Amino acid sequence: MNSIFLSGRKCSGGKARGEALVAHHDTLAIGADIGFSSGEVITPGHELHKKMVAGKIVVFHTGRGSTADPYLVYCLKQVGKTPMGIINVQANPTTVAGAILCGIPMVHQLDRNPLEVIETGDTVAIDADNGRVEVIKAVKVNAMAGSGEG
Amino acid sequence: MTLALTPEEEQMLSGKYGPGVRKSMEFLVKLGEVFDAEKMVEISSSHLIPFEIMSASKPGRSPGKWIDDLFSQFTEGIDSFRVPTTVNPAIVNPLQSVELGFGRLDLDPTENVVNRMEVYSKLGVIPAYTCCPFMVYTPRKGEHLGGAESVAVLFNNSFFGSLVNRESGPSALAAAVTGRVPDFGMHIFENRSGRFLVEIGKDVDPRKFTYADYNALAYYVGEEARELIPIYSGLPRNMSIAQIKYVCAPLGVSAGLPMCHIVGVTPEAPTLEAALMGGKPEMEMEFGKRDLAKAYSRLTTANTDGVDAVTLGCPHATLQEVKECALMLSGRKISANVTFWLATVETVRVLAERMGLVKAIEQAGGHVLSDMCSHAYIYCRGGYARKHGIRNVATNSAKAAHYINSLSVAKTWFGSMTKCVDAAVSGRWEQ
Repeated sequence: MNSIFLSGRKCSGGKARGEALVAHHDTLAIGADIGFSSGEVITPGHELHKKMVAGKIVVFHTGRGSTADPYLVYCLKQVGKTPMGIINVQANPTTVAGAILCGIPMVHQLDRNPLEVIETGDTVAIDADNGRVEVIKAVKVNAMAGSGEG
Repeated sequence: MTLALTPEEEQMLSGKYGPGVRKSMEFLVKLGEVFDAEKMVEISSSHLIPFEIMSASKPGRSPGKWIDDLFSQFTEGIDSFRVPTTVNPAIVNPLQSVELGFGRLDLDPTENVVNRMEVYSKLGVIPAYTCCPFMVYTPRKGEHLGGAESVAVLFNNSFFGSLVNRESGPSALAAAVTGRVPDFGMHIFENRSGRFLVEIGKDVDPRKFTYADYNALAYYVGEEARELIPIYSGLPRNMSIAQIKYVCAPLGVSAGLPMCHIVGVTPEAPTLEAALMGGKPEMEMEFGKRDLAKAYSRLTTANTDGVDAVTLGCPHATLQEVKECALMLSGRKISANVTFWLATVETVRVLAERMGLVKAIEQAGGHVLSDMCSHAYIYCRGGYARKHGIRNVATNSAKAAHYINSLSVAKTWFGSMTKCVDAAVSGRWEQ
């Protein structure tokens, strides 16, 4: 299986490996946008609305949200509903504060745009201390294969 | 890139000043390293956000204890904060809880708030619970500050010319504990230049702008700004503090901006050229009548003309605003079906009481709140709006309208203080 390796900068240390969930356009507030009971994105109209974030490696452009958001992330952590890791194109201090507070591995400023390289469903391993990200692409089912034709 | 610490900061990190200082410094160092800070800067004050407002927005759980534990970890071993520290509004002022009907709610937050206020005062905070700490503890130009409330950050950078990042709850707390913040972002002069030029168009006259108009302007600009620091060009140089407050605050709601330049008002922007610091704007717009109308329609979501509640004082009202409101209500009676709340800073409330303004508003059937938020109660603690049958809320604040719409079941009418007061009396919004 071929891996793609990306290199970037640490926001919050640690290692994580899990399934990617990618928001291609929308910003995300890790605290306020995630449901306390469900671990899913609860904000109507968000491109990840009703998608499970808890336990995933969540990939998005940058964070948003109130300056209180890290406290909400801390509460999510107590009920096990935080993402396992965070990858941003460019991090904002509020997201970083939440990640550091809760020990969630997080990287940003990668050498390739993670929103173009990583797709939802890929397996992603973050080694935040070394700024390394490994992307193992999900196996795509080829529509032609197994059709019995050609 | 390494972050160089002074010997005293090294000692903080090594635990000489106790576990709370160590944890706080560790946190700030980690944060500073991510954003290429080369050193820490000493701050002259910090501003905290209390947690009950946030934890309250997750009904059905009691996250208060976790957050209390976290607060204890950051403050363990200290007798007081290192710098003068203020705190954001509480969800309810315990002294006004009964008057406001909070006692009837299943989840009365009063006890929590009282307990937390005791913890804060033991650590020496200035006990004014406000989003406008500058009304109580005034910073000056060039001073580095800590602090998390977006209104305070915007006003301190843009009006006083103090240097403060839009910090988060834990970093503002760590700043109060250590008296330090990492040196990046707004603490560095070159990062403070304006990059989004907003010219006030010919078809609007800002000298006739109501507070709501200023709110609408700033809300619109924040939506367009793409995180570029805006420069307002063409606003009156003699703007009042209340007007400046309203042209700042919405930028922290529709965008996460820490600062704006108001040409002729902001210390760093005596002229447009000064605001640009010799550079060119990356983006420009002319704000006209149509943009103003668009902002109004985004902030208005009600589709019936009934009004169940009116909330003013977001951010906390100045004495002048309290006076204007009292004059508007003088000799009138608020509809029995309408809840009318005007929020301000405790010091202003005391003066307003002496001036007979509080009495005038109360005689009309309204409430003057202090130490608490003008609208957070509407969406906190399992939904005051739902329990009290509040469907439509009128306000002149873009920040209040934005959060009421996004966090509660209630809808909003957005308009001037005059229209809000009229709606309070008649119980209907005149379109």
